[in-house]
Amino acid sequence: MKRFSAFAIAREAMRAHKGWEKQWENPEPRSRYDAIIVGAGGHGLATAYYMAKEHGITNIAVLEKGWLGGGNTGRNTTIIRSNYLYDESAGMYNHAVKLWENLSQELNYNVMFSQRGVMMLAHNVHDIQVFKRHIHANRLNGVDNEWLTPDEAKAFCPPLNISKSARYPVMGAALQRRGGTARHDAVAWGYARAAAAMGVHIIQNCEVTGINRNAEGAVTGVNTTRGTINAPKVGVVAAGHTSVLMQMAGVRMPLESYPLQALVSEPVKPCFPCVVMSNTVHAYISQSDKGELVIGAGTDQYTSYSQTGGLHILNHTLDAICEMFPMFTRMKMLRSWGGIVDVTPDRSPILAKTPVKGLYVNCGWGTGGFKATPGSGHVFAHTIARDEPHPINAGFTLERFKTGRLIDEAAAAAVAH
Amino acid sequence: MSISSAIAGQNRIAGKGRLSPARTAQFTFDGQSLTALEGDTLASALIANGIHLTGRSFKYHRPRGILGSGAEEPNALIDIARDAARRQPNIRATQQEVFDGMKALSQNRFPSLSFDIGAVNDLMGKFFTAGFYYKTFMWPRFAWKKIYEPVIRAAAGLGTAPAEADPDRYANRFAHCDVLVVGGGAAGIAAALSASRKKGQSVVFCDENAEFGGHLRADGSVSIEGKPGHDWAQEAIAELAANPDVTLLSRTTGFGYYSHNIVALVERVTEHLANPDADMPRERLWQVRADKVILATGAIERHMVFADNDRPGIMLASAAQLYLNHRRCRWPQGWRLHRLRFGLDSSLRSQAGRHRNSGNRRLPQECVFRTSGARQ
Amino acid sequence: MLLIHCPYCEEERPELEFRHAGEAHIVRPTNLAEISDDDFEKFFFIRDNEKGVVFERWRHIHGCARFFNAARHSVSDKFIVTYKAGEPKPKLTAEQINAVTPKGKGTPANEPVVTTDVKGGEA
Repeated sequence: MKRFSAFAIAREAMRAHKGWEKQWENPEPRSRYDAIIVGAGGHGLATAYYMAKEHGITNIAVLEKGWLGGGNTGRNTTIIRSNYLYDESAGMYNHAVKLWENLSQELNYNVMFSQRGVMMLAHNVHDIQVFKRHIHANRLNGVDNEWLTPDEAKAFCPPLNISKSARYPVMGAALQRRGGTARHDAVAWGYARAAAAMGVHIIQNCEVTGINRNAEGAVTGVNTTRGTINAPKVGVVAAGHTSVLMQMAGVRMPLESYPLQALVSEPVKPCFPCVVMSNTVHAYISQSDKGELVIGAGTDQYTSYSQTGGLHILNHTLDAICEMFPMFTRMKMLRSWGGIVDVTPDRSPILAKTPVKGLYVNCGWGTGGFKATPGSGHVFAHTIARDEPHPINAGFTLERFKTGRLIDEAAAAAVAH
Repeated sequence: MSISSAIAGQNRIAGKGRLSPARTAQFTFDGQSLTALEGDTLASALIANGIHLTGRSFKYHRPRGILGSGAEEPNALIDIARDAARRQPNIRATQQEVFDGMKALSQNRFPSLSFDIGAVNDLMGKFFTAGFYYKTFMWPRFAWKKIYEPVIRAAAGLGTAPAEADPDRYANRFAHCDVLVVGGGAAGIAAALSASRKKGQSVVFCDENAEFGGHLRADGSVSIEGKPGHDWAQEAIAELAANPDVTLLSRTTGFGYYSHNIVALVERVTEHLANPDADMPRERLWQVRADKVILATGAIERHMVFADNDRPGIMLASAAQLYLNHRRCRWPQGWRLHRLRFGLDSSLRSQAGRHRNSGNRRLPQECVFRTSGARQ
Repeated sequence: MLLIHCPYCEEERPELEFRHAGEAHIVRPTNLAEISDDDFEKFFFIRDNEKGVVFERWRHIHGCARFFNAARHSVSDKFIVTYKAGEPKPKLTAEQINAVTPKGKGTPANEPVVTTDVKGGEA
């Protein structure tokens, strides 16, 4: 694979850009691989990348029913942070942030990781108590997080309305300066290109229709719309469709799938310097490098695979945005869309082995999986390659719903799902 | 020169179009004071005043003119202000109606629209290939945060976000009806007429333009039920307006189709008025639950692919037709129309004065006019 | 926003009046303290999360305030039937399920009815 660089751009500019290689091939599936990853979103592609790079397993197929990065990877609001409460979560998300910080260089693909700071607003006494507890817990875990007064919050994000007459006045904020955003498509494309360069097959338009097992119950491969593909190890990284896939292997999951919507405004010159989230009034917002305001809404109340949600959910979010940032009331929204988020009872993900030999699952990221992409892929690759969890994901088991050792991050999740 | 040169721009054709010369509006474009006819969109007023350069493109800062005549407009995105607090960026000139005192500003240019430093990007275009930013700015690592990203971000965006709190009001209305028709062209009018003639059936009928009629406004060659298309449309709208079971919503865009037949509409209530009533909302959000929904949103003419097809002076045939036949505009003297390629259409007859007996009455799909002298 | 038929009020009301209350027909064990961890997990955490017809509970919280059950298709979000709490899971016919199953690849919740009997326009 030829490296991307300013020099490469200059070279190609001189020959009408005819020398660029395909970033990845569209290979025909082989009949057998060492491992299959189901789902070519960010997490699935990262898993394949780290399996190839760190564990030397390159005979991998990543199967995708649509196009790569077309699910929640392409639909999220790209917020990256690690200010979660519990030790397990801090370990996982901080691992991810560390990988984010070098990801562009590692993949030779600029993912535009922008550490512009994530500020979470407190609107009542309970918020203040929860955020301060988070700040203390984060610092004990080596995660940066600091308390801001309303004036400091306003200085960090000038459009913010800190008027005491606001319906939900800002009483302070927790700021993680290392948090920020990344270019979501570039993450999927960067992992895909780097994985493909090591021999990983990315097979799009290939829907898994069944998971095959032998007499002992172990996984032998999958049936797909492009034929049967065999492999002794199958990792399911399918977000909202995890329950559907796991059912094919007879595993029922502690998951429910909900619609989650997001929207972007018309592009405007830079006016919003950071990421702001508010759990209480229920909105989060940042400005993309292209100039659009990127706004996340909440989930609908009912389970659904429709990839559409109700207009009242968007209205509610925009009401909150206009309340917090009065200058945006005249801005026009350009597009809105929905994804399907898989939510666990404790709002923490599952990255684990399953009761079925050779079957692994990475799911349950709910509304906040994008931030974990590199960390999730890294430890899930370890889990599949070694058939045992990495210390960082050791707590994110499927059994915790049996043993009761939950990782209850409902308060840290951005959306009260 | 005809009388039209005296009213609202030199590029008007007397006897053409439906805008009355009796009422005019004063507005400014980049500080230049201009006159429009009442009913003009900003686009038609600019064309009438001989202004075709209306903006700069997002990345290469290429000169951009008016391409379309409605919601399909990709180029002429203008900052529209009533006063300091009532300003919004990125408004399509083809949809904004001119009102007295309107201040229009072009965007994404420095120091001026005709001389834009950012246009150097166009010269460097072969380096700024699609996705070039994914391929570079990675070395040295610290430079991303300190240099590259701030520069990229500074180049972002087209218009400028409003900076002041919004003094206007907004309204929200829920409505229920038996039939909702979105789109007020020939098909939509026919559907709304037929739905409204069934006794007791409630109809909501919306169109995003100020006047119903869609392409019937532009194409003088169409006749329906033995009448010229536009006359038929006017009569039909009069019948619908007289029917208490019909809600007619002009300047109202359907923007979302949600579960269980809820359609979201936004009605622009005061955006076209010089002195809006302070008690009126600026916009009204309609959430309409309909038993039946008819989408009669028509077609958008497909732009042809050729080099420099984004330059000022290049215009869709359907748009040229509307400007000529409805808003009585024409190109500046000395410009020639070039017919690049015939697509389907009857509509070209009136434009180019030719007869093509294609027998096909669909909206033009692939026809574009190019004007010489138009290159900026 | 969904339109939901409350079987107690016997009318269709907008979703805002209702609260979704999870998968239906999960029987709460009477001896909760004595059941095994496995059984507790199945009762408390494990869900079918079906892509297709789902049976779910709703509560008409801003109306009669009563719980009831519904059968809905989780791709089209269209309801097949709602019924009172305590009534058995209804047996659904193929026609009933077909009527709410999305066809084609459009936006499933808003799948348009495609009519084929429209004559092409003549000039």
